[in-house]
Amino acid sequence: MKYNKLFDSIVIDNKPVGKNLYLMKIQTPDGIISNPGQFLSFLVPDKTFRRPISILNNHSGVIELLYKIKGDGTKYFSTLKSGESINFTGVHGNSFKVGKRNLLIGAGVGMAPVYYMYSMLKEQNIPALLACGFREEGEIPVCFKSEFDFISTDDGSYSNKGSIVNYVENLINNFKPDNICVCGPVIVMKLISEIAQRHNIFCQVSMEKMMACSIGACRGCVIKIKDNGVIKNSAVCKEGTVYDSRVVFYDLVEGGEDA
Amino acid sequence: MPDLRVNKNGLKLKNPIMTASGTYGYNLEYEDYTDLTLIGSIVTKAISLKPRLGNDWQRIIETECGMVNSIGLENVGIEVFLKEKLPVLLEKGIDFCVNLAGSTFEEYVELAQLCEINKIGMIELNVSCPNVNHGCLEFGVDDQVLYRLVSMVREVYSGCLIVKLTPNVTSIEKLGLASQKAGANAVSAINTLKGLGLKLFFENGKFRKEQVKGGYSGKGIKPVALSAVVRLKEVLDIPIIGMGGICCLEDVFEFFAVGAEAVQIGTANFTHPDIAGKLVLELEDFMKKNNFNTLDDLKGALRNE
Repeated sequence: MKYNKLFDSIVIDNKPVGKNLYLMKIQTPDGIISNPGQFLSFLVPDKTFRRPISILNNHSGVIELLYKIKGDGTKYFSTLKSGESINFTGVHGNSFKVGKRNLLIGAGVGMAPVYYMYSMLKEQNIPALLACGFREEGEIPVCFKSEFDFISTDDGSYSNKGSIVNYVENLINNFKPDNICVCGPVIVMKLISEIAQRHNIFCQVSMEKMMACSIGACRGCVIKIKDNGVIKNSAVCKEGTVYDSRVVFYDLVEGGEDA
Repeated sequence: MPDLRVNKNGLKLKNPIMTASGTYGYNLEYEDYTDLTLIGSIVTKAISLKPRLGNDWQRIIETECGMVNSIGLENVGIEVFLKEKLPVLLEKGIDFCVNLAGSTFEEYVELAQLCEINKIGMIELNVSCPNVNHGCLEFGVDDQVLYRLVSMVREVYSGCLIVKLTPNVTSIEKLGLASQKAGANAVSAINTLKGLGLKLFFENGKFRKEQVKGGYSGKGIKPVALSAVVRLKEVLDIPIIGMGGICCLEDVFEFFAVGAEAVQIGTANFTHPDIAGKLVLELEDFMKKNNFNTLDDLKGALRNE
């Protein structure tokens, strides 16, 4: 198969699993292999941009996607019913590198790629700890509630109270990871990157950006990164979404996530 | 098999479907989605003399009927293009046109000379990018300046020379005429419109905004583009390559109907990465089914309506 990156797939299931949060399952086209951190770009009728959604899981012929309703695109996805068709491109982007002991941190819907990493590592019996932070209990996807090793909520409505960032130090001291993977709001990734650097632990962040082409052609999702001291451009869709947490200029990349 | 070739005033294409600069990368970006050798000509991202990093985030924003971009001519520079990107185009047998962006007369001339030396058969002058502080647009808004620029490039470049015109002027006709007089083989129109994409969010009692000031493209600009082509057609003898919001075969026909000899597909590539190759096949299929033997037959039928 030569042109193997554009697919019409069928929605198998699509249901709310938390506040403004949906879990969609779609048929996996033959031969699609993906890794944690990678994403698919979905067509929305009458919209110019496709919507990138991170893969939550890909096994037994089903791709699972967790998405939060943030704008017109995700609102449209929430109306899709089983049996309906959905068009996507992918698989796009790079993926998380695996360490010996992996601390996986997600904030909000950013839990998707780190959850994917977690399930993959568990299958391979590689030590991993999944710690996720949410604003409130309602934002925790019910179906995964029992699978987290650690949960915090900003308002204390469930489990530990406060931002997940406040607990990272402790998690590091107890779990002793050599690899940290983070996905969530830019500020969360920035703060955890700083903590990881203080502990001298390799840390990877998964960036989220509005995209036009998803394949590195339009240069719309480009952020500036530090590469051996040199500032250069990097297309989040192709060279990302996963970066060594030390190369990102966090203060320059806010915004452009509400699609 | 219908004959889809375009051959007018030195503009030679195997078919009239091109891809617009800035939307199709340099060479193989779309190879997972379509047969690139099908496409009449891939116009590369604008190439400057030195590499450019372009603008900071945020560079793109979606609007009701398209998008606004402010990429700022990020590109690898002519040296890397010639060394790394060009050989791939040649090796894969992809028809292409190199879009050039300079900030001085001399830079355009030097770029064109390098294209001449490297036997590049078709160039498109970007004199109309709205997203950089110096150069480009300054050359594309004054007919005397444009005449001088195109004449200087014409002197050093013997291949097919296309001038890409901006709609952000009072009289696009004057700029078309200046290009023609200076020896351009064709003009392409239109580049993006000046636009501002703005989104407001009301969160936690406060407004937050996202905005991109730059070039507006996509479906919404098609009427502006069609109007530009009509006005150019009234005054020009050289061929016009039409673009702006083309998403389907009907759109292509509309541009033919108002006088375009070929078209470029731009923003639609982002939404449907297979569209350029698909349009070539759809056009061929339409002509076959409806007994149009040549593109001129089809255009003639469209223009007599």
